Amino acid sequence: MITKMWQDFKKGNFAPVYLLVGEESYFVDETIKQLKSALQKVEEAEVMTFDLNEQPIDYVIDEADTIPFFSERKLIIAKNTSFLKATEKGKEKIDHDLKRLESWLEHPTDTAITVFIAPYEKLDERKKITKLMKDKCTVILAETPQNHDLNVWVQNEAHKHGKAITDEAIGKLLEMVGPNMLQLQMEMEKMALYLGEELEITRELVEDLVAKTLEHDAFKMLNAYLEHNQEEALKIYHDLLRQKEEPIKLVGLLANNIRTMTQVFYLQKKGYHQQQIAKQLKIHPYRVQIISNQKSRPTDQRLLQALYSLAEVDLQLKTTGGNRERHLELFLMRKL
Amino acid sequence: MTYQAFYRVYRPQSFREMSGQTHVKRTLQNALLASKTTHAYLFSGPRGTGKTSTAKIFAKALNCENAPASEPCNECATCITITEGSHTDVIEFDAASNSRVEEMRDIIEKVRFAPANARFKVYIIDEVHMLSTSAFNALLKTLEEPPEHAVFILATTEPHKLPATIISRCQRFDFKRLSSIDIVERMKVVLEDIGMGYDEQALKAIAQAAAGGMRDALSLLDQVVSFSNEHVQLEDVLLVTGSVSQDAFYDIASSLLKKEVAQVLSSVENLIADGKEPLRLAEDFITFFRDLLLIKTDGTLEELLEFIAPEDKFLTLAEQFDASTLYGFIDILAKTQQEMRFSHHTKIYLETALLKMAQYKATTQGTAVVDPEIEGKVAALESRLGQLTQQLQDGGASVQQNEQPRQRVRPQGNQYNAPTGRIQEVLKSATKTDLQKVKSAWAISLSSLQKSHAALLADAEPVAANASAFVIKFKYDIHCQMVADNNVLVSLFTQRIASEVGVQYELLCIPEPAWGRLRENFIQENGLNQKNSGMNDGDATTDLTDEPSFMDDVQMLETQDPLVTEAEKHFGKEIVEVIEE
Repeated sequence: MITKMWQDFKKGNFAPVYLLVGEESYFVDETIKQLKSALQKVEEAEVMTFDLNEQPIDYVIDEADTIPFFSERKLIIAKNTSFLKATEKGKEKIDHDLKRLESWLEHPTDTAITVFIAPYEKLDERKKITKLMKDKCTVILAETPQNHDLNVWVQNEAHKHGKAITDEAIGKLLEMVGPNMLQLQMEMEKMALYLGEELEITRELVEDLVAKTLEHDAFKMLNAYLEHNQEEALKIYHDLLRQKEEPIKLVGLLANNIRTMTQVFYLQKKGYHQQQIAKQLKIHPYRVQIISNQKSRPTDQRLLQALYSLAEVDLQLKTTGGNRERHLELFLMRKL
Repeated sequence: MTYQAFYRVYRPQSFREMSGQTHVKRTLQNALLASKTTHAYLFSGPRGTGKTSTAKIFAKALNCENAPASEPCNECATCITITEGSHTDVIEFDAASNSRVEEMRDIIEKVRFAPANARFKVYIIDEVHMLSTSAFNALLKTLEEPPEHAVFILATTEPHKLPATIISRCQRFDFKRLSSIDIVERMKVVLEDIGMGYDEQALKAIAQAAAGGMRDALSLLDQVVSFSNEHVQLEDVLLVTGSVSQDAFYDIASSLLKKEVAQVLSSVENLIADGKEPLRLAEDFITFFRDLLLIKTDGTLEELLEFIAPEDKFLTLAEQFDASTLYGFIDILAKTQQEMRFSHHTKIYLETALLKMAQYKATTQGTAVVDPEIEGKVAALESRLGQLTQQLQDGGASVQQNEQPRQRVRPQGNQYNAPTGRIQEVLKSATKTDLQKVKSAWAISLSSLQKSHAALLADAEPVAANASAFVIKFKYDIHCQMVADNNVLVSLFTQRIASEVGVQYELLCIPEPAWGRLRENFIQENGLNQKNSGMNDGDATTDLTDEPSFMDDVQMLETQDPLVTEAEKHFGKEIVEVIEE
């Protein structure tokens, strides 16, 4: 849907008012980029940006009603349309004249393209202004695509850079970065640059180059530990310590992961599908996928045992003195 | 010129000079050559891995007069001024000391202006995680729409403290720890440059103490060099790093193995006489044994060793120890450490701990490996188990003793012989009306009993009644017996029921399985006699209707649940409707 909209831009079909809803900033950025490039075919585009957290809506309306000087249409971007989402009391800094916006929305000017950006997961649908906006504006949903579409997107992105990417590498990349298109794009660009003349993005490259997240490291550490690979677990642990991670936090993360694992395994035994498990446990489908695709699956008993030992480590961390990093380290060294 | 520390003199000035970080270097160089640099970079990694150095080299390469090139020339005016830190368009900003918004705004304001005499305005923001929230927001605004000529390089040791919105706008590079080999190589370059001899071992020790940080390594080297005269030696390094020589610990550990207590204590005495703090020594001991464990766990973890060098003698020492013994040692030391905090006589605690450890070995050599504590616990458990079995035997006897008088008092109360004869009598003359009566009084009587008594009867149900007695079925034998034995309860309960319905019934108890058998027998017999009884008396009709309901017990119980009868009594049968769940 969004690509169709972009094609429309290229053809010169514009709606007077757009409403961009969704948390995926990649789509937001990209839409604005497309709009800009479509507008500046003849001359430099006239772009005005407002932040509705700091400026009242009147500025936007006034600007839109002013006839552009040098171009046929100008582009007006209004960021943070927070009055469309459920309000947190006392947080509103600016009073927006919504009545005026309502009447303006009935007759928007066609000498300007106004883009309202609402980078929120959900809008407050009960509000009158939300309904009206949805009705009068061309709504563009900026949502992260689901599993398969995202794979395809990564593949396309690789082609854009003139590289090929293996399926394995895509999986690893998504696992490490998560469903964040902006960051995925960054990482792809980085890898393409690293490769230079070479053509293929492999799993090894992804592992080497992509920035690691704490969650990912904690997960890897736990797996190494459960697979009796003490050496690997200790290495990761020390890397984390060097990043000044707090041992208590790591214990918490480990315990959380073990808990999720037991839950996933249990639900799987009951015949739940991966998607259902994700929904039931309210965790990201990727996590479920990674957990259930594990090669060697530890028994429930071992998991619970590990959980119990972690609880002890936690207690030690909170009650005894000495070298704090030592407790978790000893846990990782001791085989289950 | 004033003296400059090694790590400043030997700060790399080109990508070529940089140790390690191949992935970062290659990516950045390719980006430079292809002119595909982005507006924001995030360099994260532990200290001394080259973040700031890379940022500066990158800034130079971007603005070098010979650009695009993969390396800065370090000869042109731009490069030189950047190296000196005096270039107007390369702004180094220490976020740690300028963490407030105002300071951030000052910088950001000038982003819009084109660079004065370079192609890019480069902002190097060090320790970026120290920025305040509002400073981050100010920065984010700029990162979202950076002007063409601006490049931001953020460097931090703690990337998890940055807001996700910032991270997702940056091209992120993880700087990895440098390997000992890299560090040693670099130190060799430095030493050769100043014309100083060295021991390979000494350099390795420094590299180990530095734990992957080049700056730490060079600072240490700096100290060692000024400490020693001509030649960098291992002893000098150990003195400078302040750690007790690992050999002393080696001696103590091997003495512990041989159980030479006197030797252990005198070694410790020497260490303390040298001015080592006992508390600190305990910590060092823990680290030492932890290192031994690490060697035992896996031979390839040399980089993680904190205290000892991966030498052969330590490897063999580690072999001689049992993993669980080492854990035991660490436990003892950790506990001792804890106790030492609250005492002035820390030395005594340390000595006792060492004695404990020496004895520990003695106990473990025999069988497998048993922690003395656990052994003590086992012994305690064993004696306790003995006591318990003894008690059980006694108890069993006493139960038997108790049983006999009880049987005398009320033989039918025993679970093994429920008063079947009596019950059969009751069944023969059972009427539904009597049962109804009992049931209607059941709930009220039950609620008027004291809690412990009511609990006993909670699972019980009246199942049959005649004019003088009623039968209660119990789910569990034990409850049945307890009720039947409790004269007070029985008399109290029958009195309650009497006060409700006006008839003093006798209470007969029977456990459920026994009741099932009894009922079946009775129905069979009764089936034969049915006609007779049908002709005999008027009660037989009710009897008859009663009998089939015995057969499908469940249904009857449902409809004649004491609660339901109670409800029916209050509201009338027409209104009460039983909905089964």
